[in-house]
Amino acid sequence: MKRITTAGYGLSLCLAAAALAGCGGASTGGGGTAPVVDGGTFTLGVSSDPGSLDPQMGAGSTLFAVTQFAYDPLVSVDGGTGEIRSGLAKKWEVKDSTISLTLAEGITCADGAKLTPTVVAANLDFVSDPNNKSPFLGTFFPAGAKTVADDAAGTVTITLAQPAPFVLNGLSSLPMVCPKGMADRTALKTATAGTGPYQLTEAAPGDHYTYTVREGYTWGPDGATTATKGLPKTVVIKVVANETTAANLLLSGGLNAAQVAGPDAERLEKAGLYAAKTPALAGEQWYNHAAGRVTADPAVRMALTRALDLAELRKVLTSGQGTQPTALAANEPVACPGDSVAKSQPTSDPKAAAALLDQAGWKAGSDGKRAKDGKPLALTFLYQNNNGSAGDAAAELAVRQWQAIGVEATARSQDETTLTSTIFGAGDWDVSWVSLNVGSPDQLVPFLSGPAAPAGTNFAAIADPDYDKAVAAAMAIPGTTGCDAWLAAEAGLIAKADIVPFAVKVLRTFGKKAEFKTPGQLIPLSIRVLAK
Amino acid sequence: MQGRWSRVVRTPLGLTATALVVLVLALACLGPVLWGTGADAVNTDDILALPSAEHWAGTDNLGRDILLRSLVAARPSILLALVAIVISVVIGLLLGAAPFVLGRRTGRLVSAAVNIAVAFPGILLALFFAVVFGAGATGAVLAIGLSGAPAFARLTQTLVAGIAARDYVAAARIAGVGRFRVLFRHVLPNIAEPLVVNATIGAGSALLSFTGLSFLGLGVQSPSYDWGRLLYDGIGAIYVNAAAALAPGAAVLLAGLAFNLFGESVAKGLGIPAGFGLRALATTRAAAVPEPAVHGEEDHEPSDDVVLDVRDLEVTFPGPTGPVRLVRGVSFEVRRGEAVGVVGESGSGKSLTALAITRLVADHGRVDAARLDLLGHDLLAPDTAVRRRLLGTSLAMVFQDPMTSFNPTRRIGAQLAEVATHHQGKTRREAMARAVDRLAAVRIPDAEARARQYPHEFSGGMRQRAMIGMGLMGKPALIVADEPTTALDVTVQQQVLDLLAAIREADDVALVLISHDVTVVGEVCDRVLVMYAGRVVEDLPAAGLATAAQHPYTRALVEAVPDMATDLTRPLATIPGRPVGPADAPPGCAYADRCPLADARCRAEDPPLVATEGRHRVACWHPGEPVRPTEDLFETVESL
Amino acid sequence: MAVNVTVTSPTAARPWARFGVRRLGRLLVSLWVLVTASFAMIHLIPGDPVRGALGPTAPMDLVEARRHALGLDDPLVTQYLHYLEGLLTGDLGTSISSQLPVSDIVAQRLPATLSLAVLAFLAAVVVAIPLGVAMGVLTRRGHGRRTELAFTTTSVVVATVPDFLIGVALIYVFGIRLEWFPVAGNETASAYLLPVFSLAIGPAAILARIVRVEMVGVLEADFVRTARAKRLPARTVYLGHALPNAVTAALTLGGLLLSAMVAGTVLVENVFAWPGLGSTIVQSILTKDYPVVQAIVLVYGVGVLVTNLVVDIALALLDPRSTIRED
Repeated sequence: MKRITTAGYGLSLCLAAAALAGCGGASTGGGGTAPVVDGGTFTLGVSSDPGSLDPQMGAGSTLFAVTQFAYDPLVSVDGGTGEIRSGLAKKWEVKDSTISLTLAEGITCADGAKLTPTVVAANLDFVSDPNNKSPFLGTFFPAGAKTVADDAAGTVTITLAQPAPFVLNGLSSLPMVCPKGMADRTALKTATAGTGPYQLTEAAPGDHYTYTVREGYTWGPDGATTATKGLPKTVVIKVVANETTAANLLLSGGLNAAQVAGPDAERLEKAGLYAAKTPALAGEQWYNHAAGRVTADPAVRMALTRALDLAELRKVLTSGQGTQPTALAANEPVACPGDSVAKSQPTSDPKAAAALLDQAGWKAGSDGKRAKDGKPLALTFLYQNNNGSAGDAAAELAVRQWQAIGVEATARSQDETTLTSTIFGAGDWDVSWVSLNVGSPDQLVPFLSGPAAPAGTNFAAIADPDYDKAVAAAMAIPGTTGCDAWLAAEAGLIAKADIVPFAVKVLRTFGKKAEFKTPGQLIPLSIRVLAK
Repeated sequence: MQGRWSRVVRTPLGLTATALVVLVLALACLGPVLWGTGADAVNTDDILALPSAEHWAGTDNLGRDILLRSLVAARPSILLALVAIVISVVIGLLLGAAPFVLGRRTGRLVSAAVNIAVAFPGILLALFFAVVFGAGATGAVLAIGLSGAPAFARLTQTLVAGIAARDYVAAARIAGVGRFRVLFRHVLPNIAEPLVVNATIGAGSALLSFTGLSFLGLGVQSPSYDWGRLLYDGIGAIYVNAAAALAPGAAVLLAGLAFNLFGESVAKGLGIPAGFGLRALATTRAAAVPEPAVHGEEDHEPSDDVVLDVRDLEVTFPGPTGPVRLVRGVSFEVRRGEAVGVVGESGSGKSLTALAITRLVADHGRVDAARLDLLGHDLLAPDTAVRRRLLGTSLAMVFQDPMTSFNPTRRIGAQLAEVATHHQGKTRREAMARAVDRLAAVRIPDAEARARQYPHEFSGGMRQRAMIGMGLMGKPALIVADEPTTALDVTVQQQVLDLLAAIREADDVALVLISHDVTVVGEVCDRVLVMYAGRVVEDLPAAGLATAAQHPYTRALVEAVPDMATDLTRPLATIPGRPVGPADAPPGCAYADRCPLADARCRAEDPPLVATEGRHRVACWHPGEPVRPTEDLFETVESL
Repeated sequence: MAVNVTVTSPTAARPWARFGVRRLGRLLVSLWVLVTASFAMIHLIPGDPVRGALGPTAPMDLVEARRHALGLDDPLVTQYLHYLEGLLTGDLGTSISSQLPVSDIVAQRLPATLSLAVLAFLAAVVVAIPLGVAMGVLTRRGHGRRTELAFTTTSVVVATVPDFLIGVALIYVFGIRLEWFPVAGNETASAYLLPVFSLAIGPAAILARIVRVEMVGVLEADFVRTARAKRLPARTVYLGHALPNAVTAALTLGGLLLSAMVAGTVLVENVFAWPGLGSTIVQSILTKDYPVVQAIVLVYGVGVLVTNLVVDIALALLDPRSTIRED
């Protein structure tokens, strides 16, 4: 069957910040009045196996979801407002390039050991060390940071190499590993050693993982504890690769929660199941700016963009359910709410597109196909296969719309691994649909500027000095005050048709006999098991 | 050839299959022409619609009509399946014919490789190749084509081996014709038919395998589409709009069925005889069974030592144009200890008579008689356990071919012992002991060890003796032997006949011996019944065969046997003409066409079987009349 | 009708030994071919399997390290020998995506597939053979032509429908609409019903057809006439004499069916989310986790080979005429 994975609409690099608060994230269905069951079992369906359970050595979204149960980060982000809340740290202060955090008291690991600032510093040093090759380095934790611990005062001080405006957001996604895990790293592949509200008690890789609640856990965000009524005693994370099966299991009660995106979601809606929603970028078009490709010419890029009817593409891609994106960083909790797209995105105008191509020297031949100096205007168009038939249909439509202005495009659906190896390996592509789902705009910088692939992660080889300048200025402004600058920088790229975001879809995690919140990720302490 | 193929179409299955195949192929050709534009019409306002009057199967992600797309998808689907099967057949042909061309060593290697490949299920091979070639139409076609090749290679190998063993191939090789020429000239044309038939069935399987690969996402990729691709899309939405999967699914099934059934009907049609089919079905019901012919018989008073009493025996079978009486009005009796021989050409009804009197005629044949008694028990009464026990112990049957008459998968001793355990209430051990005893009684050496052996470990003569031994498990009053020695060597024949004689003498057992061999019958039996065209034409003492035969047929039979005094310079005597088939029985005497004494009365009226002296009976209008000298018979033959 | 035979000397001990040796030799050769083919598979695939699996943020040196760890830098022959060595010690490599030892993955998933395949085979045999025998008796020469037509048509149609489609339909009707059975997984005993049915029904139809045809042929045989001549009760004639002879050909087919069933699990497991090798291999193909694919292909291949061996031995035991066969 088709794999519409829980990785949803993005690369496995799903850079969503986790929030441990009870609020944030919209939800529908169910009733707040259903009686809760205390000490029940909650079964969560995931679409693929998380693989190695080491929380700091993998960036897959399933691993992310699973890590939430056994580990805690230093701070958390409120899903609705984007405010920083407490995590393992109860107090924090950011001054230029220095961040000081004060840990809460009495934090214990699952094996009883205490979590001290020394341990926290060891964690941060581990991630900082490029030899350890943690994917969190550079994305959730800036490179070149130095950490100092003071056990007596209970504080941790981080000194950054340069200011990072959303460093706390990044820290809210970085789980802390307990001493037992730091000492024996390989054991972390199949077991957990954390301070989280649950601990792993049984692992059957490829099939299911069982977590049991930890009594006496009191250091959740805003003081949330595991003594809350309705929290499940046991959480079973079940690997169900097939989405239709997951939907069937939800209906029959075999699962309490699963993310379902395809046509089966309608079925579950009709059945009146509870759904927690979170937005995700579903359609994002990138051009290959590298020299020698037809899309290196900005006029061509603009023409190709205006030739498309983005609203129609959106309708087909999301089967009528999606909306226009408002920013490139669309995941909850959104660090910078605002709209960088509506005013800047070029409008659909195929005639103007054709004129642009004529001006650029791409003349249409007798068969309607354009060519310049004997070279036909032909595109290699790659798109990820995680949107099922809707994605195939949208791609087909885009090809037709380009054909209408004389451009030949060959569409190829590819799985994540093949697609990423092509684009990050500087392979053969001109246009690709890759949804980069992040929560804060600074996480996008290495993708929108800097060294091109394969040296860096700027796979589209975007080299826009205006954007670079705008980013440099925004970097200097701490936290959300810089949001306007960030949005303006993005808008610049979008206006030039360097990047074309065109669809946002709501990811729904359906629940049966349970309710929960999913601002980006499922929040363990928000789970309530219901009687019916 | 024409007739055979038309026979295929006449069966109801064949007719349906052919119609389906024609429909499918027509759809493949015309589909895109008729509905191509309609299937392509995009309407983004009507995405994923449910079935309605406008779109019978609903719409897909681009608002296109699913039914039209299913119809148009016929062409690429059929084409891909055909290409795949062509690949399978061509590669299979190459691999399968290779041993023939390459010689023993390399040939053995190739066939070993093929045998290994055949062992693997198709889908594993297809997955293997799909991984290598990648997802997409080319990869899938190659995958399915290659995964089907081993089966065809094996089939070709078998077929080629079969043809290569034929004499004309050997002759060609000896004459110096090169291997390749032999392959192309003689071998390939002869295996073309079965290959094509299997390829047709294979095309159906290939079509279905494609859907399997597509279901996994490895088949045809968008924007091209075939049934598999449509299924892939449809199954994803099956709970929302079941028709999206039903339409292409039904199409695939119908096409697959069409190919499979067509291939099977052709295979069946080219194999079986023309008894089964629409015509046969129509006629057997309607025909009524005619009245049994009444022949003026003389009533015999049944005496106490009559073992078998048969009166007016008739055996009727259904035929292509109506029921046929293969045995008509046969009457005779067998006394205790008596040996009665039944003689006649093939088709005379003698074997059927034997089967009839032992109640072994196949179910679709009808046995009627005015009287059919064994030891006073009416054999025409319904079957009961009592009757079965009677027949199982008092009646022994010896069949012609002892090899096939024994169950090849069970030991001889067990097969004998069965009779005792079922009919004589003996325990297994007792029954086995009796079996060993009987084997010894029929002079099989080392009976104890032999009892534990299988039929194929016995020689022909021993098997026949074992068969007789099996009949002796009870205390038979009558042995019915149907051509018991025909399949044996002459020397062994004598042994078996001697054995039969010994048994008769020891226990006063009656014998009915059916044979086409007049001499044997003459030696062994007391009396002889001569049968022709389903009737007894003469009933005479064996001693009088050579001298006192009155029916011209009997005389001709006797004369036809050469003896030491036959003049070797002249052609051997034969009976001119051929026996008349039971369906063509004339109103008069059936032998009239071949009889030198026949006159108008003979051709018009069937002579009854009447006694002429004592127990000697003849059915002839001119019994005992001298035939023209045999010289004239020869001239008649030569002048023909 | 009967198995083709070349009868040689009937002495017991030595021919069996020869037979055993020859069969074993063939098994070893097949195994070697299988192993080599599954090794070659990875290297036939264009592109770099490691690069793609590690994702976008993986720096080049991580990719290089992983390649090196997987031994993909060594010359082909070295890799092959290493692979063989690994097989003999039970080391099937490491999964690229989950970093877990493949042998663990296989060991964990094998029982589910095995139980499904064996149960389905037994179900098919238990249903098909009596059905085929009964049909054979009903449609023996001159009888039940309508029955034959109906039976043949039904069994051809049933055998043609792909098992995964049957599975999907069953889930829809019994799992979702009627909610009688679970729709996925193998938690409870009742979860076995739908998958086993989907897997078994096609092969059962084919088997029943074959048994019927064989039975009809056997019922024409002379020795059946002899059994009738011995006035054995009908049950004994059909079951004691006819059936064992009809079963021989059915057994050959049964062996083929078992190995085909093993492969059928690939599709059915996907439909029912059965935690076995079939669903694993498809996921691994789609995520390009080649060591896992390689290992599972190997396991399936070995299963098929062993099944065929068992069938050959069973055939030799059952049909004494075919004890010594020159292939």
